[in-house]
Amino acid sequence: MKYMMNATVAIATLSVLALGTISDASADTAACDLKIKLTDKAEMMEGGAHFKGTPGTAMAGMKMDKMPGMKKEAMAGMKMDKMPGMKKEAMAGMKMDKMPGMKKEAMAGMKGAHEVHDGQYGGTFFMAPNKTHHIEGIYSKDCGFRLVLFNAHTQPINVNRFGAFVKYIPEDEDTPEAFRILSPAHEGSVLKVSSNPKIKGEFDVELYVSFPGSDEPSMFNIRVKH
Amino acid sequence: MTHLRSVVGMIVIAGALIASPAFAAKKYKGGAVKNGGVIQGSVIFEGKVPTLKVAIPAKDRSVCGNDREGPALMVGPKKGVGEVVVYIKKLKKGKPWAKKPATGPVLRNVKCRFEPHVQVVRKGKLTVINDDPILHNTHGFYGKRTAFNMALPKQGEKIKASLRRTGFARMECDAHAWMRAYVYVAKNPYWAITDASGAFSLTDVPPGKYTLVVAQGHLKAVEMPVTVKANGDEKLTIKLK
Repeated sequence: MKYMMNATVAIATLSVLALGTISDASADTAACDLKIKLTDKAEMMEGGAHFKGTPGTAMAGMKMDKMPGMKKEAMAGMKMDKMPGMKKEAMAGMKMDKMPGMKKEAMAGMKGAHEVHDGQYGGTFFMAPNKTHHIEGIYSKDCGFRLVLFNAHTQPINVNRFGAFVKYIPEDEDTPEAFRILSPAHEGSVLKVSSNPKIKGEFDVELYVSFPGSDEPSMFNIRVKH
Repeated sequence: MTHLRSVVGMIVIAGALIASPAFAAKKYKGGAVKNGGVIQGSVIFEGKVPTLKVAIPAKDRSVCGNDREGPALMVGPKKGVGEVVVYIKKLKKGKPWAKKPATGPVLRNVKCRFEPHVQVVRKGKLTVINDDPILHNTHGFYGKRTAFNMALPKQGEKIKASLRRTGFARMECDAHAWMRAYVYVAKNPYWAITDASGAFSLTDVPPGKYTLVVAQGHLKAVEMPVTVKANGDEKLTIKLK
């Protein structure tokens, strides 16, 4: 019987969602724009739309004997202070983003993957279970829920390849939960949906994000205090 | 179009999650047990103990320590396996639950390890604490399904996670792939965690035939039939491979 009730609730919820009556991107006002600058460079790096390398190779777990664009022989025994064909003086002050014989594009994606694990916009920051992307969920009463997607290097990327919905869960059990589907806003820099005016005080958000290449959405829990 | 497809796919999955029959399960009834018996014994490991290699990213070494390799199981000198959960499956009536402790169960992130590594709790809240000055992203799973996924970016951060279902839950950190812990959400009070020598004991078991489950995170769970006689004392040696 309970199962039947659950199924009924599910069907009702699905119908509402399918009709899109509670999907909302109305909070798309200038004041709610996080002014995120999307760059082509970020899309070229791991987690971006145009990344052409092997996933999982950017910095995390990267070894000195596996560097893009360099032959294995050249890498053998190589140290940062001993590079074949380079004078010691030339090595002084050398940075990881300026390496001889390597194209700039090949270097992109090597700089600081998973080095930054802090929120950039005052929200709750997660590393995605795919170990590539990062996400940040930001909630405010006026702007609703905004979701920023980042590449492996914690640089914002276009959200158009991603899907997401949230479940607002009030503490008060007499207030119903609410589902909201997030829509792209601010030129693809965020996925966004309105707040729920019926929810007062602290509440939980279950965020479901669909990442490219994954059949199932990943769930994230966020506690909202405002 | 891609966005629309993702949304439609997620709606279907959301519906399936809501329609789950998990609520249909009957509740355990606790009370006095007449002529209860004991199941006791030890869990031992046969074969070569598997090892785990952990590669720590350079940026986290000051907190997490250096690369390491160690045994995946806690095996003692006499082959006894510690930190194994032993429980009776599908037992609906028996001794009452032990009184709930004043503070609820806790899972800590300490130097990029979970503490405790194995614990048994009742359905409800689990407090997850970050003792490290780096982001931990504690992600609980029942099998492949997410139970909760919490970000703990600051040292000292404390979040209450919900374990709404009974069963074996695996804890991972999405920011540190090697971190693992296991939380068994008990359905009844007949459970034990083996000590360092692999020993366990279940008391006040009503006479009857049961299935005993022996679960360790790195190995496949073992199920075995067990018969408890009135005031009996069943002694078992369970082999894990």
